[in-house]
This record gives sequence, C-alpha cells and structure tokens, in this order.
Amino acid sequence: MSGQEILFGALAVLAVASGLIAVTGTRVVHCALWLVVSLGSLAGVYLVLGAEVVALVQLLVYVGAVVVLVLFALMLTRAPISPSRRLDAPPAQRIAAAVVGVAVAGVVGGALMIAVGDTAIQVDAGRGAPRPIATAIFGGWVLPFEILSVLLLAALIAALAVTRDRTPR
Amino acid sequence: MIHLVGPVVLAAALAGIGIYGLLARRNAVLVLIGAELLLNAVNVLLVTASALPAGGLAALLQPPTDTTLGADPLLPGQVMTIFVITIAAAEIGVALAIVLLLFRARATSDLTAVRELGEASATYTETPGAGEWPERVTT
Repeated sequence: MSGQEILFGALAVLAVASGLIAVTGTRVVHCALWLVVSLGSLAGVYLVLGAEVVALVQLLVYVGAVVVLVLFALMLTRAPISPSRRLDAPPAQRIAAAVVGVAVAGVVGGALMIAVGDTAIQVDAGRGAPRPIATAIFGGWVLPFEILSVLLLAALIAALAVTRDRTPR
Repeated sequence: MIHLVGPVVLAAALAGIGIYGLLARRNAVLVLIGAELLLNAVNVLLVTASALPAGGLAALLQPPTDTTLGADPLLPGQVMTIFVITIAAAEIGVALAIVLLLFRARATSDLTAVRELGEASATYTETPGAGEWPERVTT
C-alpha cells in the first residue's frame, strides 16, 4: 500500500462518513456543515488523484458558494436550530430509502468493480495543472464552455424571476 | 500507484448516500443536499477516468503501438468535472429559489405537507409572492 493510497483511503472514509451524517442528522444546520466536511475532503481526493484545478474549483464553488446558498435557504425558510424529528420521512419510507440506496451503491460499485476492479493507475501530477486544463477548456471545449456561461446567466435570471416580489404597487 | 478499487467504492458509496438523502428526507433543502452528494459521486468517477493513461483502460493492459491517439485524450474528464460543478451551482440556485417560493406560498418547506398543486390546494394563492413573509409553522 502506497502513501497515496493511505491518504486517499483516509479522505474517502472522511467524505463518506460526513456525507452519511449530512443525510441522517437531525439538526439542519449541522447537516449543512457536515456537507462542508464531505465536499472539502472530496477536494482532497481530487488532489490525490492529480486534479489540482478541479480541487480548487470544488473548494471555490461547492464549499464556498453552494453551502452558503444552502445555509441562506435554511435561514430564510426558518429552519429549526434544535434537533427535529420532522426532517425525516416516516420510518417505513426511511427503511425503503436505505434499501434503495444500498442497492444503488451495490449495482454501481459492483459493475465498476467488474470493469476496472483489478487495475492500478499511475497518477501524473502535472496532468491537472492549470496550463493543460486551460488549453483543453479554451481549445476543443470552448463551445460547451460558452453554452455553460449562457446557462448560468439563464439560471440567475430564472432564480430572480421566480422569487420576485409580486405585490401589486 | 493508486488501485482503482478505492475511487470506485467511494463513488458507489456517495451515490448510495445521495439516493438515501433524496428519498428519506422531507425538508426540501436537505433533499437538495442528497442531490449534491449524488453529483459528487459522478465527479469522483470523472476525475478517476481522467487519471487513466492515454487510450483508457485498454492501454493499461496493452500499451498502444498507435501513437496517433495524442498525448492525453482523457483530460476531458477533468474539464467535464468542472462543467458538472458549474451545472450543479446553477441547479442549486434555481432549486433553492423554488424552495423559497414554496415557503412563501405554503409557509413550510416540508415536502410531505405539499400534496396538491395549484387550485386543488387549500393554501393556494393567485400571487404566491404577495403578502407577508410567513412565520414558521410550529410542529
């Protein structure tokens, strides 16, 4: 077992454990903050896999922006700070959800394990550096990049239009 | 060297957790947390795929003699991860706007309390954005 694998394993266990707490916890704000831990350790996972730029974007967009949005939404919907049992569905539905979740994990994991389970890869640290990523994005991927910027603008306008105050003046 | 079992198991576990979060939560914001974890499972797989050598899995078993593949054809894995993160940001922005609208219209973000759409609902209003910001319904 190499050092990289040990680091990867630790970060992966942290990501999965904090993700589990984020979907099972009974305090909404704590769930959102455990999501920060999960997404942050996934940024570490990306670093171990040699994707520096992706790790930085993950920290900026997910940990920086998305979680703040989630916390704002919790604040604006007057979410309870104290532990609340009403966050979760009834026990029968939770058991069914757990069965479906385990089944999805089993199918995805099993299929991928059969496909790539016995291979090992050499991580090339220079591959995810800013220069090759920029060359790829602003080279062959420039059209999807531009379409995505239009999508972001459309999402921004849609969010504004949906939540606009429609009180007649 | 990293064995591919690790990333694969991580992605599968995140997908399972995300599905559980989507199905077992009734607070709309917490359902979205499940969706975020599901999107991150995809990202882990894309980044893992981008770490494969040129030519993909086949090149691991049998190094290609044909060098026309280019130096790094799997780099798009990382580019697409960045795109997926962008789409996730757009998605959660619109989704949280809808949750806020739901809260203003029905004074709750509990998805099991919202069983009817439109006029069939007892709390239906013609202009959901109008009126006072509701107090939280104590449960």
